[in-house]
Amino acid sequence: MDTDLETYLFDLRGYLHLERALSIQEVGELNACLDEIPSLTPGEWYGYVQAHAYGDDTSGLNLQQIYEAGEPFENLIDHPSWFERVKCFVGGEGSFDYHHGPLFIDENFANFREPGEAIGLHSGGFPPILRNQFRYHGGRFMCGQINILMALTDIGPGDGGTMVIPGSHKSNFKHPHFDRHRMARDATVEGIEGAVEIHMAAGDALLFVDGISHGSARRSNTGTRRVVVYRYGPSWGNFRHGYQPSPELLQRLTPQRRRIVQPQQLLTREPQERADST
Amino acid sequence: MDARERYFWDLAGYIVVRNVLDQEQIAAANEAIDLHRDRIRIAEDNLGARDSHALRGTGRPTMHDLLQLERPHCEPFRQMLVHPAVVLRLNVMCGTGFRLDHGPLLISGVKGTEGLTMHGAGEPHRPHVAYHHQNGGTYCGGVTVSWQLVDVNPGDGGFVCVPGSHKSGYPMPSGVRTCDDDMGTVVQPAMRAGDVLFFMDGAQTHGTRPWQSERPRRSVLYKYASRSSVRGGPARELAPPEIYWGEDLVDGMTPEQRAVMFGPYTNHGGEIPFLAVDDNGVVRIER
Repeated sequence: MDTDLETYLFDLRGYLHLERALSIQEVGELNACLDEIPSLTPGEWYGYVQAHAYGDDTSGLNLQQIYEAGEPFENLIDHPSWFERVKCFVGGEGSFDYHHGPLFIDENFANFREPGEAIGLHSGGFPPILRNQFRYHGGRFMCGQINILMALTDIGPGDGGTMVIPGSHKSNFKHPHFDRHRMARDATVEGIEGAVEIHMAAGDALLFVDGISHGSARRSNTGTRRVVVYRYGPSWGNFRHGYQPSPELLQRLTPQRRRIVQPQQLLTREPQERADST
Repeated sequence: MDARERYFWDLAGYIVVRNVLDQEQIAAANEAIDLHRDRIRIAEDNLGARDSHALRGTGRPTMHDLLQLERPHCEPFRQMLVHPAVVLRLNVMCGTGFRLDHGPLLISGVKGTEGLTMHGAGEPHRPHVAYHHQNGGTYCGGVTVSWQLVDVNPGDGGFVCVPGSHKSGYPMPSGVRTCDDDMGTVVQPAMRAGDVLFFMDGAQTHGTRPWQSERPRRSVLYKYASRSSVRGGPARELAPPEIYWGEDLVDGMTPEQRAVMFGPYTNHGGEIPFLAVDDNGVVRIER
C-alpha cells in the first residue's frame, strides 16, 4: 500500500492491517519453534523464555522474551514488513530520542488463547497514559508504543480476534461503558459500542498504537489462537517486566538487532588503581 | 449531552439522536414539502459528483426558504430550528449563543440522484469550523443538524462520512474524496424518519452517496455556527466594505486598505483580496 495512504489510515484509525507480513515459511518456522517448548505454567522458565499470565487468568498463556526462543523470532526484531513503519510512528529520528538508537522492544511474547478465553478492554486516549500515547507534533509522529501483533494461526469469526475502537487513540473522554468491559477475569470487548473485530490470516500482522482502546473477542471455536506480540518504543524505554536479554542472544544478534534489544550500553565499574600508586 | 453522546461525538465527529420527531411532526413537515413541491429545484447532472465515478447520477433536488413558507407550513421547520434536542446539544458542541449561519435546506433525491464528493477534514485546518478540545470541554465552530423525514436504510445512500477525520493530521486521499477507492473509511449511518443527525460540517470529512432507494430522500439541513464563527449564508452578501462599514467610511481607500475592510466571511468564492509585504517593505495585494 502507498505510504501516504498508510500514514493517513494510521493517523485516522490508530492501526494498520498488514496482510501477508510473514511468509508461509516464516509462519511455519515460528510455529515449529513454539511446538518445541513444553507445556509451562506461569513463572516457569524454558531457557530464557518465561511463562506468564496477566492478572485476569482468562486471557491466555504468554511466553515472555520469546525472541530468546530461536532465530525465527530474532528475525522478527527488525522485520522488513514493519520495521520502517514502526520507526516512523515512534519517531525521533535526528533528535535526542535516537541517542541510544531507533527503537527498543519493551515486551515481546507469544500468546496462546484457548476456547472461552479473551482479554478485556484497556487503553484509549483517556485517561491519558504517557508510555503508550499516540502523539503527532511538529510534523512528525511521536508515539510511545507501537505494537506488532502477528497471527500464527488464522483468526476469523469465533477465533477470538483482536478488537479495537477505531479513532480512540485520540479520544478525549472515557468510553461510557469502559468499566463493563475492562480487563478482568472473563472480560471481553464484544458488545461494546464502537469496537470492531480484526480478522487475520496466519502471517498477517496488526500494527497499532497501544494507546488505542483494544482487547479481544472471546474464543468460541475449538483449537488455540496463537499470536506473537512485539512492543516497540523509543530507545530510552525500559523493560516492562524487568527481563534482561541473555548474553548468548546478544552475541548472536546482528548489530542493528542488538541495538534494539539492548540499546543502553552498560557502564561497568571496575576497581581502579590510583595513577600514582606503586 | 450524556456521556455516551459526548464520547462518540469526540470519537467519530457525528452522532444520530433517535426518535426526536413524532409521527405527527414528521407528517406535518412532509405535508409542507408536498404542498410546495413546485419550489424544488433540480441541479444539473453530476454537479456534485464532479470527477468521481462512484458518485455519478442525476441532478440533486433541493428546496430553500423553508422558514418563509406561509403559515402554518413554516411551523414544523421553525420548531426544528430551536428544538430542545438541538439547543441542548449545540450549547455543548458550539457553545452557548450559537446561531443559524445558513439554511435550512431540503435535500431530496430519487433513485439515481448523484452523490456529492467528500469534503471537510482535520487537515487542512480551518479554524472557523475546526473541532477543538481543551480543559475538559469541546468546541466546534460549525455543526450541521440534519433532520430525517424518511427512513435511510443501510445502502440507501445519502449522508456518508469518515469517522474520526475531524482529528486527521493528513489530507484525505483522492480515492476517499471521490469514493472511488475509500479504503473502507467511508460509512453511511442508517437512520429512521424522526431521527436527527449532528455532524461537524467542515471539520469532518463527509459527503453523500447516490440515492438508491425507491423512496425519495428527504433530509432538512440546518447549518449552525458558534457565536463568533462565520461559515457562509447572508454574511457573503454583507461582507463588501461599502456595505459592512458604509460607503462614507471606505470612500477613497486604496485597494490594500479596502482589503482589510471586508466583513467576516469564509471567502469560499475566493473574492476577498489577501495582503502581503514585499521585499521592499511595501504592502501589496497578494491575490
